[in-house]
Amino acid sequence: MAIGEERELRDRFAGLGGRDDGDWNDVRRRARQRSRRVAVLVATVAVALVATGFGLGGQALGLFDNSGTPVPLEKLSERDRQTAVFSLCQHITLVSRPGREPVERCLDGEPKVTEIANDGKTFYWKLSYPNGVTCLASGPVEGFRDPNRGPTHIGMMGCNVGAPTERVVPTPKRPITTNLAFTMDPGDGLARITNASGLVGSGITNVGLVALHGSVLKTTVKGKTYDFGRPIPTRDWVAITAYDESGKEVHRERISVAHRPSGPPLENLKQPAPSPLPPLPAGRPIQHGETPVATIDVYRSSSVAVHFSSMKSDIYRTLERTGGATLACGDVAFGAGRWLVVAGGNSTQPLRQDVRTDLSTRYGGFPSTPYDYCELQGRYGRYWNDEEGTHELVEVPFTAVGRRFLDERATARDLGYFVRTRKMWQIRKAVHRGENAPSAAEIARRFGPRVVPLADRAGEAPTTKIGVWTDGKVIVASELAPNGRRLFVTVGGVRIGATNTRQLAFVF
Amino acid sequence: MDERTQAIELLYRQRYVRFRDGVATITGSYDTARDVVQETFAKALRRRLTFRGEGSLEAWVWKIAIRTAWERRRELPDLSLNGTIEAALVEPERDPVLAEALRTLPAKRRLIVFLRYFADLSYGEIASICEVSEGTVGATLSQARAALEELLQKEDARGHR
Repeated sequence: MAIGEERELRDRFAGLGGRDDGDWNDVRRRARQRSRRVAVLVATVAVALVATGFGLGGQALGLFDNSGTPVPLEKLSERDRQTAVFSLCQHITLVSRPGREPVERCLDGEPKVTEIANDGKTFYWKLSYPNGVTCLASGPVEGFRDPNRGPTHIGMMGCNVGAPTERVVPTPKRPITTNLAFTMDPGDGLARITNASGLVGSGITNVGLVALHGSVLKTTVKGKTYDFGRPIPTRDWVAITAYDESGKEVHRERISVAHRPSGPPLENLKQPAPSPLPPLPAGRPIQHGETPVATIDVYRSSSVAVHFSSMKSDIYRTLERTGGATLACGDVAFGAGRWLVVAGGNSTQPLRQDVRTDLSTRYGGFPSTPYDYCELQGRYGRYWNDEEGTHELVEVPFTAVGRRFLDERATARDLGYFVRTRKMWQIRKAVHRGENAPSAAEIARRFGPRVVPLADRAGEAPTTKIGVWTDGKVIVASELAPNGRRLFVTVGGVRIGATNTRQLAFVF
Repeated sequence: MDERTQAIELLYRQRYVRFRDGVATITGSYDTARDVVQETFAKALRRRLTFRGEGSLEAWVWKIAIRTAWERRRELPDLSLNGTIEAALVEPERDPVLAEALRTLPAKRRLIVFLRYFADLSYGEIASICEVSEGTVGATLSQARAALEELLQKEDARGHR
């Protein structure tokens, strides 16, 4: 799987879905019936933290020493490094070197990671990015389980993207940070706090939760952190407070848990009109591509515009009927037998004759212009040998490597859809139970003329055909991409074995 | 029929399967998930006047669906995603590799992955449902994708042996 190839992940999940057995009339009947159960309030909970702004009298209280201990990026596990560097990177580039696997680089620069607190149970890392964004990452000191490349530590990460003045660490004005955990009680529908934790500034020795009737549950600060632990008593907590070493309350934030108020009668409201198309950026597009039914223009700012020449084409109707599409673009690189893909996209529901989106994001992680390809990813079901084929219905390569990627991906998808057909799944389950797979000739016979038997495990089928080899336990399906590269998938029962399609398609 | 009812019906007809499959990861069975989704949309109809259009209708209905699913399990959900949400594939044998990979994800990441890939929700909608920032959703998905990639590569290695 390639980073950013969300489409493939979505495909894989979609493959687990069953048939549509919905019944709208049943919904209407239920809506008319009065429930015999105690009504459960599920109104949206709005949680507001309102600092009351206790004066701190000019004391140095609440200052947070975030110098901490530098954490070299190379000391992070690969997964944590990926999260720290690329999830907020606005300008990712792929670097190809002859004979080497391609690698990602973030042109924005890398963050400085500093461990600013660690109470032995939870660590807090401050990540400072060259563009001024600051993130606070936290997680268990012992890390998460990672069977391959060491522990992963980052559990949650919050950033001040879009709010540069927001501090992610305590300040004299707000000497604690607050991470509240809630549960929704199904009995009365009220939200209840199950835990509170966070960082504290200098001089804060205790943090308290104040109940509606005034009682206070306190916890002692350890290092620069506090954590009430679980479970805390079930009460109507209304505020969180901070105390200095004399026991004086120096800060209070109201915790407001409220139901969303009812709005005006909706019968009086008009159906909201579809949002207007965003204007095209000034200047000319830097990339332009055409298909028989649509054109795609890419602007330097990462704005992408699609125009369908007709809303009556089969392709347009297919996309419209099946719930719209996702407009996605990507950058790709190939080397040493591996593809590297950075792609991203936005939903275009509902589909319109003109589709425009801005693929730049506040939080990064998406490719930046110019792109190697753009496409409209349909949401129709995908089956082996179906009429939609294995290319997207609207797909434009802008570069030679983009063309090669789309071609190889189509071939890889063909193999992927093939090995997950119902017929192949029956064979795979039989092998999983210990039975022998049918001969390659028999498998080919069951699938018809697009599948041919191979006498050699590494054999090649004619172009556009899928070749199948088996020894009774293992099945190898292979196909030549348009550029002649042989793609293959090894199937051992229900598991997928060796394959060179992993970065191109989800094969399962 | 008022316009909001029409919008909810349209949502149901277009997205029923995604709701059912997504909810099934919480309830543990398709039958229960189907019932939860039916009840969810019935609640949505009854409470449509409380939807103020501040976010997407789908995200609003998803919140109801998730809470209804949790009610059905008689478990207390952790809306801030700091608790344990035991969501998993309802039929792991249909994709044992993916099931195994998902099982190793921390619960909070797993739920966001389900909302993204089963429910096909946008970052903003997931952020609204889970009451976290979009950046957190992005970072979480990035971590989850990387984790799945590693586990699937491990499967590759097994296949070579």
